[in-house]
Formats: sequence, C-alpha cells, structure tokens
Amino acid sequence: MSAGVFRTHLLLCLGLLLAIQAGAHPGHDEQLEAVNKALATAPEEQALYLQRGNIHAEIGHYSEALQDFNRARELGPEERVDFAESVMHYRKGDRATAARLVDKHISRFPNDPGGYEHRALIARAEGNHAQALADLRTYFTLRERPNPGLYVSAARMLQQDGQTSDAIAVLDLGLEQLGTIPQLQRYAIELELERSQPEAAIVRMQSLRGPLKDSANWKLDMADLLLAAGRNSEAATLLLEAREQLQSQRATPARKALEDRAETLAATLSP
Amino acid sequence: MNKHSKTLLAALLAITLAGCSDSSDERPVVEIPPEPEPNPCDGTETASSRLFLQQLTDSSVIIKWRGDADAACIGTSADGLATRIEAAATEGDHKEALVTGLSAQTTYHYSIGGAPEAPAGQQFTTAPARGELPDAGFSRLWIIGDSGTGGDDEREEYEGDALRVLAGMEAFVASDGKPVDMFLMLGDNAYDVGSDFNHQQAVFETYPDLLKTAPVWPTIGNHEMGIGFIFGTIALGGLGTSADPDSWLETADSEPVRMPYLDIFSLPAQGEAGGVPSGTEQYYSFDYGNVHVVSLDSQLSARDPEQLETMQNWLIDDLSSNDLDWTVVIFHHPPYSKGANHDSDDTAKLNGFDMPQQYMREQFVPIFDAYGVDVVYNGHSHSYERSYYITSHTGTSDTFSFAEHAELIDGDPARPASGRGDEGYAQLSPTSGGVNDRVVYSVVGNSGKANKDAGSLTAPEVWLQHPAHIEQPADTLDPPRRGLPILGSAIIDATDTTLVHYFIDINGEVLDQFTISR
Repeated sequence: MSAGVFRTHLLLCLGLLLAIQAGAHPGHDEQLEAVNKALATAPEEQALYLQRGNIHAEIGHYSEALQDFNRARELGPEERVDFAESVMHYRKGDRATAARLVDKHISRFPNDPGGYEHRALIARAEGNHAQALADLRTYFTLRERPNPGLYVSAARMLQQDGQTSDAIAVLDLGLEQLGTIPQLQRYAIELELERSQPEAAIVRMQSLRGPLKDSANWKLDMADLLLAAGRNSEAATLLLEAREQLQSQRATPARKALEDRAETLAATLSP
Repeated sequence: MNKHSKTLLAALLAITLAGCSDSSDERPVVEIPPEPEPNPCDGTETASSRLFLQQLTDSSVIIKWRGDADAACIGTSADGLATRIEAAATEGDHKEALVTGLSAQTTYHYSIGGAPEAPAGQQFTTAPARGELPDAGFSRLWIIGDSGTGGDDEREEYEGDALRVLAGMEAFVASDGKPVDMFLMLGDNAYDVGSDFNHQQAVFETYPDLLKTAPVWPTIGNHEMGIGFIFGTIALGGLGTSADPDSWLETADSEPVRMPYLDIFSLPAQGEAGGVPSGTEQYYSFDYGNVHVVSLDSQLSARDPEQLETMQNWLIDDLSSNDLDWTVVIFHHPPYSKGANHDSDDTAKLNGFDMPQQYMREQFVPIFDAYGVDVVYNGHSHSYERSYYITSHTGTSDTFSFAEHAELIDGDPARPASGRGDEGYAQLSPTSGGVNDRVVYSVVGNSGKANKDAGSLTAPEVWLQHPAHIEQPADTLDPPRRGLPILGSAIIDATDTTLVHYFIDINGEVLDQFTISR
C-alpha cells in the first residue's frame, strides 16, 4: 500500500470525525471525544487509533499515545504507524527512536518527501548535518518548488560547519530551481563576502537590480559592496542616485534610516 | 467603334499596363488582392467547470479554466475575436492561456475553445499603467475573508451566507456603477479542508460571474491546509500546524501532494505582476495602478523559524522596492483580534494553531510600520474588527495605549482619531511628526459566516473588545462593542490622494469607514 492510499484510508475515517465535529476549531478534548465516539461504532478501525494517538502526542500524553499506536500496529498494517509514531517520539525528545521509525518509513515509502524532511529535522537536532543535508537534497529533488526557507536552512547548516562553498552551492541550486529571488541571493552575497570574494558578491548583487527595481535600498547595498572592493567612483555615483531617489519618496522610518546610511556612506567616500 | 478609337483605346491600355509593370520586366502584371487570412478563432465556445482570471496586469492576463478547450480567443470587440492563444495544461487539471501584449486600461472580451464571439460576461479590463489611476479615477478592491462556506462541508449551517455577502457588494457597487477591479480572499476560502472540490463549490460555483471579469488574489488560511498532516501525523480540518505545503493529500492513489490551493491559483512567484520575486506562490506581491498589494503566508511559512525569516527578508526587499501611493497587505491570522475562538492574546492554546497571530504581530508589524504599509487585512475571526491608525504595538492587548500607539487628535492622548468624517488619517502621520509609520488593521473574517457568541476558546467578556480596535456605532449593544458579529465584506477605493475603506453588510450598507489622505 502506498503512503497516499494509506492516508486516503485515514481521510475516509476522518470524514466520519468531521461529520461529528461541531465547531470549526475544536479543542483536543472535543477531538478526543469525537474519536472516541467514532471508535464506539468502529472499534477495529486502525486509522482511529492513529488519530487518537496523534492527538495524545500533541498534548504530551505520550503513554496514551503509545498505547494507541501499539493498538494500531496490532490491527495492522504496521507500516501505517511508523511515521506517526516517529513524530511522537521526536516531540517527546526521543530522537533515536524517532530516527529508527522514520528510517523504516522511508524504506517503505522512498518517494514520500515528508519522510525526508522529517528525518532532516531529526538529524539537524542531533547535529548530524551530513544526514540532514542529504535528506534535504533528496527532498529538493522530490519537490518541484520547495519553500525558499528550506534552502536557507540547508545553507545555514553548511555555513555552521565551515563549508561555505557548499552552502553557496545549495543556494545556487535554489536560485536555479526558484529563479533569482533576493532571499537566497542576499544570503549568497553574505557568504561570498565571508570567503573574501567581493567581486562575486557584486555580480550577485547586480543580478538583483531588476528584481529589486533599482531601489534606493539596492543602490546603497551595491554601493557598500563597491566601496569594499575599492570601486569608489562607481559607489559614489550610486550613492548620489540613491539620495536623489530618497528625496523624491515619502518619508517612512525605513527611508529615513536609508538616508542616514547614505549620509554615513557619503562621509566615507569624501576625501 | 472606329479604327481611330480602337487605336486610341489600345494606346491607353498599353500606357496603363506599362504603369503597372515592373520596370525590369516589360510584361504586364495584374495585382490580385491577397486572400484574407482565415480567422484563427473559428471554433465554438466550450463549457468549462471553472473559469477565472489570474495575474491581471496592465499588459497581460492569465485566463484559466478547467475543461476540454485548448485555446482562448480574445479581442476588443465581443463579436470580433481574432487573436487565438493556445493554452498550456497545468497542474490540477487546469488550462492556462497567458495573454500578453495587451494595452493598459482596455476592455477585452474572450471566448474559451476558439469561438469568434465572446459570451456575455466574459470580459476584463486591464490594469492602469504602473502608478497611474484607472479612468474612473480610483481603484476598487473587494475584500472577503473566511468566505468558503458555500460548499457541502458548511452548507447546512451557513446556507447562502457567502452569496448574501456577494449581494451586498453588488448592491454597493450598483450605487455608483463602478465595478470592483479585483477581489482579495483572506484565507479559509474553501471549507473545510481546502480540497479541490471545496474550492469548486465555495469559490468557483459561488462567484462564477465575478471570477470571469475581475482577477482574484488569495492568501492561505488554516482551512486551506487540509486535515493537517504534520510530517505525516493527523489533525482535524483547520488545525494543521505543518509548514509543509506538500503534506496535503490530493488523490486516492498518490503520495501526499501540494495543497490544492497552490495548483488552483497561479500566483506571481517570479514578480510577474510587478512585485519582487518571492520564488514561492505561498507569498507574493503585485501592483495595480497606484496600489501595491502584498499577500503573506501566515499559515505555513510563519510556522517554521527559517521560513518565517526568509519571508521577512523578502517582505523588506519587496516594500523597499515599492514607491506606489498605497500599500495593502493581506494574510489570514490577525495580529489583533478578540474574535470567537481566536484571541490574539491566547495563541498558545491547543496545539498552537493560532501561534501565527502572535508571530505576525511580533515579527511583521514592525516591518509594516517601518516600510510604509497603509492597511492590513486579515480573516480567521468570523466578525468585523478594525483598529485605530496605530504604530509600534507588538504586545498583547493589555499593553496597548492610545498615547503610545494610536493617532491622536491634536496630540490629546484621550482622543484617538477614528478615521471617520473630520477625523480622517493622514498618511504622513502628524502624531509621528510627518512620517508614514501607521497602519489600520481590519479583520474581515465574516464573509461566509459570522459568529454569534464568543465560542469555547474566548472569554465572553472580552469578545470583540480589543482595545486597539475602534468601537462600532452600528453594533446593537450599548455601549457598542469594538467589532460587529455580522456578515459583511470590505471595499477599498483608492485615488491618488485618498484611500477610503468601507465595511459593508449584506445589503451594501456602509457600517464603518475610514479615510487615509496623502
């Protein structure tokens, strides 16, 4: 049975619960009550034990949760339980058991991206960045358009491990997959500077000129990079343009901060 | 005809033909007019189960549908369509025709399936050029929240409520004849789980006519996130706390897939409509004339610290790159609310499914203040609440004070400005010394249902009593509460000098309004 079919079965059971559900956002007590009612009419339904186990796990009632998961295992099939129980153990702080169970899940459902993302979280919490990164890379290949924040997460782990070039490579992978977006490119610029590559940082910043609409903020950021690379004349030109631009725009706290920053930059550029 | 006449005629004919001939070729050539090109729009209108407009700009639009047709035809005259656009098949069994090269502020008619005539009601008007006003002199935005009750999952309890709210908007616009230029959906657009079928009923079969003429721009609510798998675990509808949009189950024989919302809507992740590219359809921005609109993701991205920070960084870049007259931000979870079951002071309850209210208040409100956002709209609470013109309020409701946070009349801390009548707001706040650092926050989660009591999670005595919210004279209680527990929606009319917000009921009556001037 695929993970999808398995979850469909769960969904069908949950349909019963939803029909019982009175309010839009019931509390856990109401959820438990609904599951218990459903169990009264379907006491052999594995999905309901999984459901109740998850509710118990969410509110920290781990022994009750485990009891329900064990019952779900008895009713079978067993592979339905691994992932849910892994998440419970992760919440409980038992990362070793969580990892063992998610390993089982992944071996049975190797194309389920959720398994890799969950295992990456466990590995990251364990400080096992290599495993976390490997799982995130798999996740990236299984998903067409991952959230940009996941690339940042992967790059941050690599940066923490001193693997700056690999961190940049992950960000470039994201830029290739998601397009030239400032969230990833700005982080890459930071890393280029960290590895003393100011010209590479400038090239990256240049790629943001269009997406950031030649804003005063972009101009000042670029002027900073140019100044750091000793390209003072180009920095001065951008600085002048940024100041003129800011004068024509309505005052916001952010623009006032930019004006102050421009003033400081001008003082730096003055002979 | 005599001999001379024949000779003269022959001479004239020779001269005439010589004039038509190529100088290098003495043989006479008679030009034959070319056959007119056949009209590529020679098909018939084809039915579609959903038809709607996406990413409308001043020069482009996506016409999106579900059905057999593989092309759309478009033209400025309803009975003379002659431009055919082949559609691409896209996710979720949709077809998309990307139409480019359009003129700003121009009305186009369209057909689906290649017909040369457009059925009545299939037309749209392109946006004004960036920074410009529409011909009517103002842009009109219709804003609805938690409107998705029109389907089977909530029909029994809220039968017809969404349609009543729609009728209220139609009554309002009938008073001046100016249709809405777009509509914004604040999340919980399709109860109970945001499935494709939920969307079919609660969106496409509830607003079919409007969707053909005005672009819809949505944001993600908690009820778009299915049953709420959290890395494979399960919760009930609307209680999901996963940051993973791929943890939604779509079909019986598939692995967990992207939430249907992301397949149904085509949103400008690459800045296609004027905003800064975000790389994700979960949050995005666009321009319409002189209005910049940002849609944030408070349901998924806000739940993971690194995804949240990444969205913050994008927002800062997006707002820094925006210099239009007005900035509107939408997302689902209200930073300030004393709604039934959704108290912004009590976000950690249950499994923390309301935590985004706190995250957005603490981590995004300072950005709104600093970067010139004018108005913020949220849903989630099924009532109407709206704030004073406030700044720097990131705490719980007990930390709110007029003196510290509200726009004041003549600097008097006992007199917060209401925004109504002669207490209108100035974009460059006098209280802040002429700086654009204030925002009005409105909760409009009552476009498909309206709570009649505080619910089980909000104390009755604090229901609709957030001090940052203004008292509503239209309330039936005395003294009036700081909110209205009735159905309704919001309208924004934005000129180059004023932004006027209206809260309207199901009859189109204005029950609250405020004005910001610039």
